[in-house]
Amino acid sequence: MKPMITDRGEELTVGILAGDEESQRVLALEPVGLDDLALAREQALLDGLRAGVLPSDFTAVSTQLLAGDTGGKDRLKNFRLELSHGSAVYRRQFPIAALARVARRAEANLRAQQILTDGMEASYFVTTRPAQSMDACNDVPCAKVRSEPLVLEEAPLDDFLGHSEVLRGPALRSKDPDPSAPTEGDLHVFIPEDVWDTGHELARRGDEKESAGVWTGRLMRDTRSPEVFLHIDECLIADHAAEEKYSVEFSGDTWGDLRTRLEQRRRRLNRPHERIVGSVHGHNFSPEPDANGRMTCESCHLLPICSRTTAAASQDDFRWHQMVFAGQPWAILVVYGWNARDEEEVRCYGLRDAQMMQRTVRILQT
Amino acid sequence: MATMLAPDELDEVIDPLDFTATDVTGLRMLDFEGVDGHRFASDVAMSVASQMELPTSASKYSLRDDERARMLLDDRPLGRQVQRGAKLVVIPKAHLG
Repeated sequence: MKPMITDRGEELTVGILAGDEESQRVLALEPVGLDDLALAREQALLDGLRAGVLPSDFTAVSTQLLAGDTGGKDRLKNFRLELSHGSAVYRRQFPIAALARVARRAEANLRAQQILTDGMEASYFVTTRPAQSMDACNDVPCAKVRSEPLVLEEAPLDDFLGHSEVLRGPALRSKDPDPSAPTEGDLHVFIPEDVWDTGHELARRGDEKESAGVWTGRLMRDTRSPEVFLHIDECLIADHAAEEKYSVEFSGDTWGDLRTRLEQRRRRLNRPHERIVGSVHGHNFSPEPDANGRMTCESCHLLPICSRTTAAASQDDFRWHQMVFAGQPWAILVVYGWNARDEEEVRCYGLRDAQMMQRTVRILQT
Repeated sequence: MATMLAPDELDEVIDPLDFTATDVTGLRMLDFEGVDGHRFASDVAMSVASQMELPTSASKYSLRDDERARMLLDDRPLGRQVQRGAKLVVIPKAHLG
């Protein structure tokens, strides 16, 4: 793993403590690697793009990690990424919670080694330390980048907002808003109603097995502000995939087929900037009953939202999304499932605060 | 003793090798020159993914020959499976769960 080095030549490091944050017993120091900061960098790139500071060609943007404010004992309260392109500079501050996954990884290693045992609590802090080592150079000769710059088409955001409605989720049949679903601040994503319905069909196509599709669309820039938004154009079937009850795996032929059909759409519809921008799949199974064989909980009749649901992204879903959409912070992940009341649900996810979080989309009336 | 060749394998290793690689979404396209053709395809896939800034900790990738529409065998030399100037796609080895 290639460690991330700060502007002061130090490694950003997560420390694991036995007990709470006041504990002095440090069990492990886990270096923060390039991959660990990928979502933070993407968040900063997206925010910088939406602010009109950074270009859409992210390969031209350089990144510098800055150690943030210290909160005593050399422990950091935050960290910053400074992105620059020529004279344009964009800085984004992140709380240490953005490194929680590094702490979870270190804690899992400690538990696997029995250093942390059942019942032992752990907490974490973030600090810097002198750089320990650097990975060996990549042993494939450096490549020449030949990617085409990402083009933002111009369109009036107000028109899209005026002809669309927020889909809050999760319950498709219920009108109750989901309190956890955000409404402000996220990148706007617009999906025509018929395309949304196609995504639904593809997610459910597998019947009792998982099945999937991918969203294609175009990035837009508002004609009256630097704001960027995403317009979804189509949902393409993920054919030739290995569809199982609890997973769906895209094969080489799946990707070959998707790329061919996208290329056909670009030519036929004269949309050279349409691209793959997300995925949709169905968890086409119900929650497991509890130990007493009951599907719903005691207070089911009192709760507006059922929390026992399969319409939630798994860690595998997030990992797949990151492997496919690295460097594309606008990409969305949509998951259909069923709750314990046998109601169909859907949740959408996207990048927020350097984490994949539940988000809304806007459905365009067609 | 002659080495058994897998179907579609070349009878010699092309080395060094030039190729173009893209990620599955087509966002990144990189030209590689002078790559050691004796390296296994899996090994090259990881190096290419790294240069594309795809996540590589606990993540695996394979390569697909786009023009011949076939996956490359991970444990075979890349130079035995593709021609010079091949167009390769980096395929994530992962599933939605």
